[in-house]
Amino acid sequence: MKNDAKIVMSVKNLSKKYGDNEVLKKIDMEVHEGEVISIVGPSGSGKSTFLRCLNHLEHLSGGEIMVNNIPLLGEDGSHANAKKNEKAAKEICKSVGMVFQQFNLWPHKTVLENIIEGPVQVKKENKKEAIKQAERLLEKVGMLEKKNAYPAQLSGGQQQRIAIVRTLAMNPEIILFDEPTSALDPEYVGEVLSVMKDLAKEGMTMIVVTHEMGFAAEVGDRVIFMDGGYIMEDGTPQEVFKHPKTERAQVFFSKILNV
Amino acid sequence: MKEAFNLVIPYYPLFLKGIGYTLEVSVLAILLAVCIGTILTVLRMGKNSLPHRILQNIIAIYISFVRGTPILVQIYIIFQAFSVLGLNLSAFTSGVIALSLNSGGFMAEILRGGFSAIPKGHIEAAKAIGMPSHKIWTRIILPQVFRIAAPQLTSEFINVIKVSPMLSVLAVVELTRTAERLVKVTGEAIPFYITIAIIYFIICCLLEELVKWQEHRRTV
Repeated sequence: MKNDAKIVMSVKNLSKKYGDNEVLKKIDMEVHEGEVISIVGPSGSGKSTFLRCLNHLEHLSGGEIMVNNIPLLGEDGSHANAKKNEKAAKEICKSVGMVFQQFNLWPHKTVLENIIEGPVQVKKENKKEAIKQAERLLEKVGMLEKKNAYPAQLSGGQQQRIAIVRTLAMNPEIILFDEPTSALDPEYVGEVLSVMKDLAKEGMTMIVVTHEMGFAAEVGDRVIFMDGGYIMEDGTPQEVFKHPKTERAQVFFSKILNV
Repeated sequence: MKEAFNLVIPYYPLFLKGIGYTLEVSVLAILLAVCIGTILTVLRMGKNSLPHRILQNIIAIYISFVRGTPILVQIYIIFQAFSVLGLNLSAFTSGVIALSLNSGGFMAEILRGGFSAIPKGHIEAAKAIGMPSHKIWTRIILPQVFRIAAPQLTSEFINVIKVSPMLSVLAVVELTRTAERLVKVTGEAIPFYITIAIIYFIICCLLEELVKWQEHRRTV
């Protein structure tokens, strides 16, 4: 564990409701710099919703999230908080990147245009510099020759690698991954995971919602198991996979790890 | 056939003038209508606050009104409304405004269809990099909406050209009004009406080709 490292994100008593349906309950979490956290759990357990709260794609109902000393506050019944959060989210999004299950590349822009969009339009970087940086990153993931292609011309694995590069181009301190390999054909999963492993090795702080237990075990510093909107387990992969404390987790892992 | 041809040809300067007017009216009305349609589309989407909902309802009523009343009636209303308000607009100007207000309503419906075809994730990806919402509209949403809606928009452009003869009721001497005058002068009807039908047809075909070429150029 990297407990001595700086805390880059902390979540206190987070709750999220859709109407009367509470999908996240009393969530607490601290993220240290350079940590790789995998969030696992059955579908409907709230893990994707949790991840999406962290960069305000979902509005939190109660509790608080701190990212680099910028707070996001519970919005239920507080119009003022909702307003403040809109502003805070714009700042937070500059240092927290997100990679989606469906890649979400913009289909009317080329690979290169997708990547420089954030640096040029949001961070107001010089376009030539942004292109240079984009090309460096593309080379790193072995996709430089595709820079003028459109997303529709690429395989799922290639699109996801581009989506990761698009996120990296913003120089984020934390990257959130929302089931990054779940929409891929099995043959493309490896290439995306290997890019993610390289990132982890370089010390990127990553929070990954995933069903890839192998990845979680090999690369993750911590595994969080969620069920029914609660965090049920939070520990090293060894602890959580091998010696889960809760019965729910024992049942879940015995099903998926002993196939 | 030859007789008819000989009858029509000498009047070609008048036809050219009529074509000029028709094109001017149509192009101006289409451009204005695209602006109106886009603005309505942007205003219709978005937040769920009370003022927003009221605005959305007003827009919805406007669009139903435009779609549910004859364009001829709308042209008369706009023309009379301006003079009641003391604004002395020419028949041409008020005609163009009437056409674009009408077509803008139709385009708002078309563009909304295009909007709903865009996966939500594309917008989330833009939000996730902290893009401000006006840029999400201009750089991510609208370029895609226009691309998706291009075929229906083309039909609507052609529709504007085809309803432009309605402005002849305001004595705008566009192509149809030109033909009507010549029919009165010469006492011959068919040759003149056939001529303008062919001209309208050619204009609409050219427009369709132009849009196709544009689409092709962008996808290559």
